[in-house]
Amino acid sequence: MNVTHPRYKETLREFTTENGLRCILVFKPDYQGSCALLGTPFGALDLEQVDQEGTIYHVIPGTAHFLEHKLFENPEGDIMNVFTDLGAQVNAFTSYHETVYYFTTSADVIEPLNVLMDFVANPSISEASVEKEKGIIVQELNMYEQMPDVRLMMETYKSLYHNHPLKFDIGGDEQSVLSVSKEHLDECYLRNYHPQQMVLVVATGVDLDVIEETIRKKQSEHPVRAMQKVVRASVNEPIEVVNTYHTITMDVQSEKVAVAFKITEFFDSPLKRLKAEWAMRFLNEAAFSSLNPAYQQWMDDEIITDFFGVDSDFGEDYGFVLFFNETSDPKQFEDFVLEQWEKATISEVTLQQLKRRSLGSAIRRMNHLDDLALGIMRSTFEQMDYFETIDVIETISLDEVLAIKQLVHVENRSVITLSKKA
Amino acid sequence: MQSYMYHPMSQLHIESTQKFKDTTISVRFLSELTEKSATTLAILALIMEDRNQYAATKQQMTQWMDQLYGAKLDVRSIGYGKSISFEVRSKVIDDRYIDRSIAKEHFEWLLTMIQYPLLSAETLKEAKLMLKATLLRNQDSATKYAINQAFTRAGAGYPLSIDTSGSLDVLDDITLDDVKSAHTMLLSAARVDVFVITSAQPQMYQALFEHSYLNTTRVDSETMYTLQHRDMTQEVMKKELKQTNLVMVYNAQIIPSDELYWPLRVALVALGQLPSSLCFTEIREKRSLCYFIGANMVTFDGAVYVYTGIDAKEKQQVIQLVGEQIQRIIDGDIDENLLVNSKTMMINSLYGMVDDPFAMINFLYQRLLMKSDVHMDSVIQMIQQVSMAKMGEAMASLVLRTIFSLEPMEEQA
Repeated sequence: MNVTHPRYKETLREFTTENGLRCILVFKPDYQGSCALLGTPFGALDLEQVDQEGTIYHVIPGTAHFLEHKLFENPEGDIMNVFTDLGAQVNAFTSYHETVYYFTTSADVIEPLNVLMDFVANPSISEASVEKEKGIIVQELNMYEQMPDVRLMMETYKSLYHNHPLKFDIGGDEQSVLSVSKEHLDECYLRNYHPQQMVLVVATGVDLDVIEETIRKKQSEHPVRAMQKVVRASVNEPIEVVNTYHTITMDVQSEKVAVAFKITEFFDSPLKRLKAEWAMRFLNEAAFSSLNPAYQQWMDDEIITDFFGVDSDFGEDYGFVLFFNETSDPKQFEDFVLEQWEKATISEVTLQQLKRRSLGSAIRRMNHLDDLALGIMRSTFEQMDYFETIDVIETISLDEVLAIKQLVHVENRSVITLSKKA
Repeated sequence: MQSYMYHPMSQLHIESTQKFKDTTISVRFLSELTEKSATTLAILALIMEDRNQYAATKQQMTQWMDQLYGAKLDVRSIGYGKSISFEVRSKVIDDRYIDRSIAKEHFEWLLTMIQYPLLSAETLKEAKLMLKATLLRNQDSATKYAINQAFTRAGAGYPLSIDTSGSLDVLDDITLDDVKSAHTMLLSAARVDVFVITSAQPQMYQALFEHSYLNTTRVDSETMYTLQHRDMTQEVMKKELKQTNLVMVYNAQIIPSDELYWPLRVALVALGQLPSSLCFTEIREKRSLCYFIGANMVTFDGAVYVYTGIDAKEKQQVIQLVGEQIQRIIDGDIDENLLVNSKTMMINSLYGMVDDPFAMINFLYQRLLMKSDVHMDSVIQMIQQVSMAKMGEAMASLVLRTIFSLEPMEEQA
């Protein structure tokens, strides 16, 4: 049944196929294009999985990403060409939390949708192709390695975490990529690509009855297999950071610094985590953006540049607040962050202003089929309703924003400097 | 999109639709591209985004935008051959999703942003610092830097060599008077096109436009040109990298007004814009020589380029392979299916534009500058008519002009 949200005026239909695939369809009547995403919550953080019997499975860093590459292969060649033949553009990505396969098209959506469901459900990985893919992935890793911003972020994770899988690049490293085998990929696939673990989201202007019928029919054709229920094993991560100070050098024009606070208190529900994320964002926006009257002085004094920013991420078992800037004086920046963090505050007026801004931005994002579909998929993985994740913006109180500061213990920090090679 | 012309080179284009949850506005001024104009306009863009005579601090500026439910303001320059387009774009949430009407207020606010930037010694100094940081940062992006350097060499003496984001060579010499003159020129003389995609009443925008400073007689600026042929040059630059960034620039001498323009565009899709394209298949999939490879066009300069990231020792092999793929298109030695798919993907991409306000605006603006039929159907028809022979003819006009590679130091290679 289609349900139209009274406030956001988006029409959704949700159902689960007989083999357990959770499906959410979004009806965008005026849109010419369609977008479909099929994803599994198997990402780069899943390096140790445990089943109901307590058996632990070790996953080589970069495997989720490697698997993403290899699923595009079928016995007749590259699946991308099949989509091209159908006038659709297909792609995929792996994050720390999930692997998502998707296509967009402004032509027929039915056939590409069938192909998407088929190729993700029926991998055909050969040993020879695994070996061939290693060269391509190593080139991809090399490409990221020479990007200063990516490198700074990776080095920050490595300095914050002893054991947590965040310390590994999503794609792994050359050594881990070279050690991946066909058997390893097959095993990981079987553990993490069962329909009951996955979510399919389709945003389209096509009649949802037709889409639902297509999905149900295709899923009924896929052989039913038993699901091995696994969860991410808990990580024994010390409270302290690995390095308080760490410097890397690159052949760059602009020197950069990151100051990261490691957060070690976690939330027992996704909703609480989401609220905490918004609260931290609002506090940082009030204290470290142009909303703070002192911001102009910081720029005039050349303490910060337009590159300066602050970001935060709260996961199930990790969290950090990260400040970054371009400067050749890391000590000055570190002192600045510590001093300003101490002063950081927000008024009720500013909070309301930020809520209004965030709400406008969240609503505008629904214009984009891919953003909307991905937002829905991610909230579904988190067992949340997508629209509630937007409504929550308005529920955050001043007290909650001010209290979020207590999560940060400034002594538990890493300062990473990316300096110019002499 | 409905177009209204009030004066020569001063037009308003409105798409009335309930489809989107926001109103999108783009104001585009067109003027001559030079190294100095690009740098001056880049400075002006930073100042315009930053502060205003009616919002003299960053804080006031942000508060003003937040009163409009987080209106977005983005100012940028884009090159169109001999010209540069200075674009002020903004988005604001549609009136249907909030408890008051802000469409009129938003357009008036945007006109104020453009008319009254805070041009002072202080804002100039800050903008220069920011631009310098951005230009230096751009040099740290290997792919972007390699393409930029390749264009500098291939386009020496032509607008192709000018980076529209500005130049470090002239940055220090730009004065406040230069910025003020550039601003005055935009307000009073440069061709202007205003695009609005909204659910609000078009008459309201028409009335505001008609009574604004935009509604004056203005002058057009030339865009398309071609490079004269010359001998091929090859250059290597060394940096501490893990990968060689290879860029091959070709002079096609084909611009949008030419008969071979659409055959060339289709050929480039077949060469390097699809997973089934020749370069992707032969260089990445069959030989695992790269992760990314693409072929594209600098439309108004009639130039074509192929770019990739590879292992340093594979450079000659990749150069040869790219040449072989071009020759295959010239010889018609490609699967008919690739031709069909290339055309289909281009056409689908055109159809898909109607779901993206800025894509719609970009398409219309480019067609206006080309002085071509603005209707999508006529473009689609031209794409459909492209044959294998015409594609080969278009590719036969490519003359390799520059091979530039940004390579790792010897010990890293």
